[in-house]
Amino acid sequence: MTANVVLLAVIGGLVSCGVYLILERSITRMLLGLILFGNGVNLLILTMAGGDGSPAIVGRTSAGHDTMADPLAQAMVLTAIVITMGLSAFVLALGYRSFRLTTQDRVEDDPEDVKVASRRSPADAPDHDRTDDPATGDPTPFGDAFDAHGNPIPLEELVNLEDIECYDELHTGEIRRVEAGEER
Amino acid sequence: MLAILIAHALAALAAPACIRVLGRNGFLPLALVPAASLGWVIAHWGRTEEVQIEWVPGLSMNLDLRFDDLAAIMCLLVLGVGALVLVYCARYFTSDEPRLGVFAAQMVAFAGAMFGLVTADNMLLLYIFWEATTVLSFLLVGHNSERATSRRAALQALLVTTAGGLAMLVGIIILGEVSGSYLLSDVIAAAPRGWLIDIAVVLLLIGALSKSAIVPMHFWLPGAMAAPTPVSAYLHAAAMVKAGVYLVARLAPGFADTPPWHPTVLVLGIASMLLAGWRALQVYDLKLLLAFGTVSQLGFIIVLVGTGSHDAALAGTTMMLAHALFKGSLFMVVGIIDHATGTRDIRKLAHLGNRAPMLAAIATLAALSMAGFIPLLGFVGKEAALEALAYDDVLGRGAAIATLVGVVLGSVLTVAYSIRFVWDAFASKGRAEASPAVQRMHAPGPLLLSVPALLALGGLAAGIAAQWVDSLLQPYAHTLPGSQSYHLALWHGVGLPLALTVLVLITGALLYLGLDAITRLRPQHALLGNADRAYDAALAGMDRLSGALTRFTQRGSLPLTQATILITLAVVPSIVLAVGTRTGVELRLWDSPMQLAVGAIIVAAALAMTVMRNRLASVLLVGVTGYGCGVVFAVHGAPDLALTQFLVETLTLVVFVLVLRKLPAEVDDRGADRIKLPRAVLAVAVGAMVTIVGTFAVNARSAAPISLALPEAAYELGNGKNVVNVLLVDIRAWDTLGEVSVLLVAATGVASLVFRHRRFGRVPRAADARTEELVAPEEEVTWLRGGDFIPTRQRMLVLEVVTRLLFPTMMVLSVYFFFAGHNAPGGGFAGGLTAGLALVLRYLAGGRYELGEALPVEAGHILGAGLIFSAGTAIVSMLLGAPVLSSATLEVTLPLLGDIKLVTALFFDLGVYLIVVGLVLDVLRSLGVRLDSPQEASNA
Repeated sequence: MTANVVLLAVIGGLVSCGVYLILERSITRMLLGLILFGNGVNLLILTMAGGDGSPAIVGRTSAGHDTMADPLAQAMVLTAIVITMGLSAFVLALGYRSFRLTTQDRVEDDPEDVKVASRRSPADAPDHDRTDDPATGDPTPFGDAFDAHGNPIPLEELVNLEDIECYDELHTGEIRRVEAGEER
Repeated sequence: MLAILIAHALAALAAPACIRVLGRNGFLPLALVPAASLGWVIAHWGRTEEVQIEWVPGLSMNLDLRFDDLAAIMCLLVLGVGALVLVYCARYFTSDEPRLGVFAAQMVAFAGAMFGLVTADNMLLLYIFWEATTVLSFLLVGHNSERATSRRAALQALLVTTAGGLAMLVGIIILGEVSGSYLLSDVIAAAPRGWLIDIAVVLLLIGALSKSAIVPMHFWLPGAMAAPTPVSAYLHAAAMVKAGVYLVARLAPGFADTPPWHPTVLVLGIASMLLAGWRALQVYDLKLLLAFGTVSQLGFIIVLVGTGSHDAALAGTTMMLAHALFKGSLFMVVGIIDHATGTRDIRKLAHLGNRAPMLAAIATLAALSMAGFIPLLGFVGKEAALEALAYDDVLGRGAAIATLVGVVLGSVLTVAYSIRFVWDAFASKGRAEASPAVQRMHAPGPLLLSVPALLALGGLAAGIAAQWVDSLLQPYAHTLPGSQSYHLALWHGVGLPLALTVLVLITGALLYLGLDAITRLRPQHALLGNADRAYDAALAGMDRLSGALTRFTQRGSLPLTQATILITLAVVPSIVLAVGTRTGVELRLWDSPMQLAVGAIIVAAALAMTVMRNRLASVLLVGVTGYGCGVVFAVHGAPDLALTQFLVETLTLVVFVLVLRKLPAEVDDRGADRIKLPRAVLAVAVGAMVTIVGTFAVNARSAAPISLALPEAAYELGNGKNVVNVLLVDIRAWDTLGEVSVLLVAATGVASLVFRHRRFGRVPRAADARTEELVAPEEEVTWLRGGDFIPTRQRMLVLEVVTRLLFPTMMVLSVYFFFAGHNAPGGGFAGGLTAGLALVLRYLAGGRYELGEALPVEAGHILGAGLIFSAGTAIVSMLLGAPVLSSATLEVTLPLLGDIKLVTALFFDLGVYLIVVGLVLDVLRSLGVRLDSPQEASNA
């Protein structure tokens, strides 16, 4: 098959302008860029499927065409057009909500990513809680200081203080030499 | 066998209810399940039973169960100890223990999974049961989930054993693919050889040894002592840790003589035996002492079953039985001590034997078996082990002697920690009176005591009836090579084994006496503490790595992320194009000169957009490109596309304007200037890449396209002349179903974003409005009822009149598009969009109350009805036995209309129509009516 130069140039123009707009931070501009890009891709699908022809309706011909234009590409593009409408409505609502909350429809740097980048100690990670050591993130005995229903209790009220001690011994590999029979 | 598995599954499901009704006594009926299953095992002893049910034959994964001699021995442990542990649970816990029902369910399920594990013949099935026990062990160890220690121990056990399990899975797949069968019995009978098999064997051993807590993957077992004691007694003494032993025993007949087998099994087994035995002499916690003792014993058993000779296998299975009996009993004793005195620390116990003589007797009996004292089963097993290693004919001479020395040394440690357990827990230890903990203790109940007593007495009885035990274990041992002459017996006469046993006992006793002196000599760091820290370091390292990776890849800047994607889009296809084969390029200027004219307008509008800061102007420009595309579609021979594009473009324009009235006129492009040039370069690069790749791609097409066959298929099979519409509602209806689902989600999303809460509800009608909002006098005749609420200055009578006249026409057109769509341009999408535009017109002319007047139905209901129609067509065709979404033609004769041909795809298209209408209504309701409302206006 041969390539349609004019259409491909138009597609290139649409895609370029679309990309240029997508790389902004304003939600409206990004959405418009995406629509431009989408229009380009729709045309691309259409021209990839071949040249023009009669309408894709059995029994109808138009002047100057003896073949039917590819219906498969048309069905795909039709789907894409309608989806783009739904997407636009959604992104617009998103932009509106963003504007109501921050008085601008801009996408700032993701605060969660910034938080990850500025994490100073392992204890800042989300899988650590306040019972862990704030500097190293290592578990402390306070992680065990909960009653059977999960309510925090003071360390002294813990029934099986021994469990923690023996766990601690296991973990550090150090065993206190206490004389046999000595009571703490 | 299947019945046993199902019984356990049902019992597990019923367990929470059982515990809720009966309290802790609910464990007793649950114990009947493994007990009854044990009855089946005993009734079928010595026979080979098989069950084969096809499951996933494509993966060779079938429910192949096989009950043979080795499985019978394992079942005896799993079910016997399982039933006893459940009885023990009935007195160990109090009825008000939190999560007791779930705990009971997990215990029963675990027994079932273990049974499945030891009877599975299909290796993939074995793996499934294997991981089921891992997960259940995770849940059981983490029973006290409010504690960080408990959670950490559970996670550690899970990670270590799952990692081993995954290695094992790879081994299983290699083994299965090389030998051509995934049945264990086939694989072992065939026993293939080769370097690939060696790798598989190592991977399988990694799985087995991690499960059985062998050095260096042992550390999870002492940690898992955070579990309640019944769990320790069952999982960590009798059942789960024996799964690894079972696998080694199972594979030994086929693979014990592969090169990596003996070095791995013997070295790691002996190392576990010695290191953990030594560690057991140091800890003060009774449960930890037993845990390290278990690691040590498992090492011993692994050495025996891994040796691969008849005698050693006999000794190994004997030790396995003996270990389940004495270690289960000892764990339960510790549970009772913990319960009664509130401590497990041997430094806090003195005179316990005086206060609880029965308990002391049970513990002593069990510990004697552990130490290998005549006449208990432990003695019989150890005799057999020493005999097997001393007169070994499978290992080389040097290896056999080294193993024997290792086992003797390990046994010395075993004797020492056995004495330490009994003496330090129960004796007076030179103190005048009982320690405070012991003084406060309460006496354990008879049922609680009976279970460990039964297990300990079992060890005694089995020792005395050694010949009988021999008859149980011989059949499996006979599957292994070597002299077949050895038999278990209580008394073999004086010989090297007996001499070694006596030596071991004496040295062990001396070691215990000199323990304080010896431990003072060495630094206080334990030999094995490092494995736990290595685990921590590995986890922390992975955390750091993932953190660094996240920081590197997730910079948080959306333009940067998009630029990365787009650069990839520009670069990768270009590289492929540069290095790959290219076809020649043939070009044509255009299909029709019209394309050039429209294309020029489109590109001009697109370029203008890049410099346009006014939002409304940008939207109009993007509309120009959209309508331009519509024209291109029209001249291309795609009337459906052109129609849809024009309708969508108009609707999109309205939606944009509805939102943009609430936003500032100019976009905020702070900071955009700085990166103009790189943006432009990237934009041109991507555009050029798309054009060039498109040129090559279209030239590369040489085969006849599939679409040539579509018109005929659409007409003959789909009964429609409009090929595009038949494609949408019939040939590629799955795509459309997905698409309308996306539209539904988008509509819901829009409404959720605007309403935030209470997103459902009808659009308000004129009757819902407050009377003070009414502007026009009520009695006057009006064109649109909603218009009466618009301030007179803003009201446009002409528009109202036109709308009143145009609306019915548009609706008729919409219905026409819908019905005609199968044979002419139109269809559900075009029809729905036309109806949507009619609604838009009513809203724009008549204001917020007019929309409710036009369509007084909830948008959600329309969307839901549409999805029901679309998905319903799919389901009905499936229920009728046809493939999903296939359509049929119904011909009916109606009284007035005559013959009517009805394609069922019309119902699907009706769903599409409704969803599009619902989408438009929801968007208008949210972005139109709601944004008009005082709530949104006030705090803008």
